[in-house]
Amino acid sequence: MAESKVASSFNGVVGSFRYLDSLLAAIEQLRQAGYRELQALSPVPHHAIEEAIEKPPSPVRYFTLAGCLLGAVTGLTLTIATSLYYPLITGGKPIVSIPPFLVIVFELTILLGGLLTLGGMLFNARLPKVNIGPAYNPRFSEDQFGLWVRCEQKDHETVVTMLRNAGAEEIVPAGQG
Amino acid sequence: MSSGHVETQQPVHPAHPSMVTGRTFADVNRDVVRTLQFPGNLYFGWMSFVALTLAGGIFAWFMQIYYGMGMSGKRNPQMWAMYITTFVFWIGIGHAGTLISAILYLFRAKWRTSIYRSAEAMTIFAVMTAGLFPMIHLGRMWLPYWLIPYPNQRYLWPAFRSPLLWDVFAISTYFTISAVFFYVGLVPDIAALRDCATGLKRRIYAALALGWQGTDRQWRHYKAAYVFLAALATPLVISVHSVVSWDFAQSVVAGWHSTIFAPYFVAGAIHSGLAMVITLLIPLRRIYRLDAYITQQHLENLAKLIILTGLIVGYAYAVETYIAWYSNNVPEWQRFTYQVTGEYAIPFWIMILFNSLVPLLFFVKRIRTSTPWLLAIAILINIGMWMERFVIIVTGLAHEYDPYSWGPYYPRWVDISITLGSFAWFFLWFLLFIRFLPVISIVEVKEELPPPMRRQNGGE
Amino acid sequence: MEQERERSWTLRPRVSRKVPLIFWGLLGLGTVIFLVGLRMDPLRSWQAYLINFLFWGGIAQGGVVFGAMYHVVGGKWGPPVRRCAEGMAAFLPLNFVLFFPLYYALNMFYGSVREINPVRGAWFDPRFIFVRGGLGLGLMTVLSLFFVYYSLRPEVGWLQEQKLRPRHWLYEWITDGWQGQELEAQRCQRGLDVLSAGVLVVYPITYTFMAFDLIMSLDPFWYSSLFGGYFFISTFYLGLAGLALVCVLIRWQLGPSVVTSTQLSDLGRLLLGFNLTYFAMIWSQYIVIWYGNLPEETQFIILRLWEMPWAVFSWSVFILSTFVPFLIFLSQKAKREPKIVFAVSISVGLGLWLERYVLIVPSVWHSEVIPLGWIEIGVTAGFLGAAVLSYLFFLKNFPVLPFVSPIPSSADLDKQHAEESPAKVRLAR
Repeated sequence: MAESKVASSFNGVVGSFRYLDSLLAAIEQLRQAGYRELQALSPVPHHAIEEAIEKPPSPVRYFTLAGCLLGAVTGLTLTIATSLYYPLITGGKPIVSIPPFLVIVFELTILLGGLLTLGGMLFNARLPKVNIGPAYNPRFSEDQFGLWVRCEQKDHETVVTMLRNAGAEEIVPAGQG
Repeated sequence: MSSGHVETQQPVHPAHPSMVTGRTFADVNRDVVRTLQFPGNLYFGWMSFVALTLAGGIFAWFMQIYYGMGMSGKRNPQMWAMYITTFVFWIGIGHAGTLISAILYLFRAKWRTSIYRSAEAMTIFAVMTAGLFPMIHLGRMWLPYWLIPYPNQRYLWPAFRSPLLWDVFAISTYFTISAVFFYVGLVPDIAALRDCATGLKRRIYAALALGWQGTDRQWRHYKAAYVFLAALATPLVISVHSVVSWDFAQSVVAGWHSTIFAPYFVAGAIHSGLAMVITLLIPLRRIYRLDAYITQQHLENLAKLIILTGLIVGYAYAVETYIAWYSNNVPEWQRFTYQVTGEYAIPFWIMILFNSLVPLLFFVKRIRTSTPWLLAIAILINIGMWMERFVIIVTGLAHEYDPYSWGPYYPRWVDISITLGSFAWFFLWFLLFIRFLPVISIVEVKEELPPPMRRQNGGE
Repeated sequence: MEQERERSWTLRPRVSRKVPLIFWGLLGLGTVIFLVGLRMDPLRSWQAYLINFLFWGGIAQGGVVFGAMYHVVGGKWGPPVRRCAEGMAAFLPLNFVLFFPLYYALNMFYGSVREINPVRGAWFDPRFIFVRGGLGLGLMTVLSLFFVYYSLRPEVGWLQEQKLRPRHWLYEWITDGWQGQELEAQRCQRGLDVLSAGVLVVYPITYTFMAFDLIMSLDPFWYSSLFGGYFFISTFYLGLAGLALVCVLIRWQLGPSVVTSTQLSDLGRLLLGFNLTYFAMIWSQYIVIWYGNLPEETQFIILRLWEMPWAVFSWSVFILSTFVPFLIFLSQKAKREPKIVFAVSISVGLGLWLERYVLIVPSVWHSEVIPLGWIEIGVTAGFLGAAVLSYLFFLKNFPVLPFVSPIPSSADLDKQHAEESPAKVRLAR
């Protein structure tokens, strides 16, 4: 996926579609024509769009796994190290008493797993995004679909025609995705 | 949701399992944004009432800090009394929100989409309310940060072996993860609000929406994060109230030291939480005219879940009674008879009646589809669940092993004001939530509607 | 539609003649070994009998409870899975009959309890235990059978109407008083609604008391209020594992369009969820007992967890039934692979058999020799034979695919077989 340029130089076209099947048809045609750098904008996620775009599954799960492991290790280290540091027998329990420590480990596993999942999502989705760009149509969060196609200035006309044929209602040039 | 399907019918249209019908995408945006309009007098009336009650609670707390813990009703041996009752009550309430938003998500129960946002908000505010009480019930409430593990000049660390510390970790984790889950789910909705707002509101929403555009890349990672957060929140919610129950079960107090406490408390938490969800949803639905989204079927499904949790709570009561007899443990049996016939017999019988018997009324279809009945029973359940925590804590401490350690608890105005103040605090936040954030998840409701397709003439 | 219904009856797993013979053989062998064992060492035989009674009855009952649960939540994701679960009810009448011989074992198990702890007196009179156990089990069996009856009745009725099969005493009994397709469909739907709720309400109560009476009371002093809850969750988990095993076998016989990878994956998720629930039940008891450190409670746990030879069994239980399935089923792909699901089900089943062993045996067995040998294997084989035979009986007489699903044609079957790829995870509807 191309990184967006901050300056509003031309690097693509955004088409707005009222219907989902028009969007899917457009994606199909553009991919066949060789325009692979596409982003579909939609008010809801839809599996048909995911399948048409064909991107690899999200790596957020690795962030989650890393967070869980980190949390478990942190929990064990924190509890065991601090118990040994100031060994105080409470309730006749051993200094390093694993069963209660496991509760702390479990909670920290979930905590860091969740936080790193959030981090993973933000990192992978490139959020927060400071500028959503003038090509963004507010109706994309309501009931319209969009398709950003990366193309050169020279291919502008071709792409616009293809989008219009597929059923796009409004087509604007885009400075960034 | 129909239980089972007559075999000769076609499969249900996959577009309507959420039970929201007759709405287009644009309708959903419009209907939800409508709830964010400048509110009327009813809203300000409730706000005033809530603010006054909260002020009373804060004043009571101030008196307690200034004059000391004696202002409350806490006396030896009743050191946990009403504050911890209310604490456990509020933590419990939060569980239903996570059940609806995370657990039902994993079970692919589509009907949760229009109610989970309010339920999640309820969770966060309930946990925020509960989190006040460990501070309020402390003698030196200006030192609660000693519970956090941080290096300090006395080389002291918290006692990780203690269930009270597990509580600290569990509740902080629960609050954080719920807040993260809540926020992640909100981002696309706030983007929708941003796109139809102007001025300062637009700038605030734009900042909160993190520049969300709804690209397939953003959705992909969003969905992955969402499912993992739901998968993490599920064991978390079970563990949180288990940890809270272990505050009691890990002791050897007669009647507290019981292995069933963990699942019993979790079921009870979900029980009271579902009742609170119903209590919140019915007025919300009525006042904001959201009947198309929060349908009778939704309320009925919640009522059915309440039957389940009510049966589990009833089972726990029965098993506790059996084991109290079976165990030959004299203090435990005596404490049990004290519960049933002693000074606190009235709260005990209210607890049995309201928690396990009254919800059985929901077996009758006419009752679970009638809004007044639903609201009434939900309120009774919440009263019953508060009483349950009160009975467990107070009678447990009132009747321990040796007679010299027995002692009753009589609440004073400070205890009661602070408890009522906690309700006010909760409702204050919930009213603010209704005012500024979408009470129904725009995105998830839309996900269950048929997308606009040209073949079907757009819209439905 | 009619064609589809017909296909649902013709689509049956082909079981060769030899297979039932093997299981009859096992059943016979088991009976003989049990009777011989009774002469040689009655305590050992009876405890093996009790373990297996709880184990195989548990699989069957757990499966039926899943079927009831599936109906109550209005599930649509796995009709053949539901039918496989219902099929397990075939063992329940046999299980009920097998309860009666336990009468002779009760004095052996509870005699010492009454001596050591006479306060519990009449409650532990073996006759009283037997009567209340029999009543509970009987009620559970009746409810389960009627639940399955209402599920099968419309289909058998249609079969009789179409005269597709010769008359059979079982079909006659099921369709007794047949009033026509439409009326029966409604009546049976109502019956299913009531009975599934009945099964789900009575099951926890019955199995709680079965656990309290048949397992917990074997130790004269120990008690744990969660033990009943722990046992019925454990039994349900066991039933799920048995169900997963059966579904994999059906898939291997009838193909991936009958039991799809998505359905296996959903079963796998349920197994993972109940694995965690099961472990939570164990942990909730352990942590409370550990922390309280009261000798009357801890002696039960220490004997099983930390003292040889029982420690080996306990840790095997954890590894087989909890840890290994958890680690494996974390992976999405693993849940879709029939071989892996099969292996995990076996692991869980083995673990849970050992669990029942380690709960019961240390309470009653007091000699040095570990009771694990030909008697246990023999009796287990006998019960295995009985359970499998009853299930084969069910498969022979009833369709695996209920009407609700569109029965795939052979062309669809081939296409789906070719298309099956784990990368495309779709929500099947």
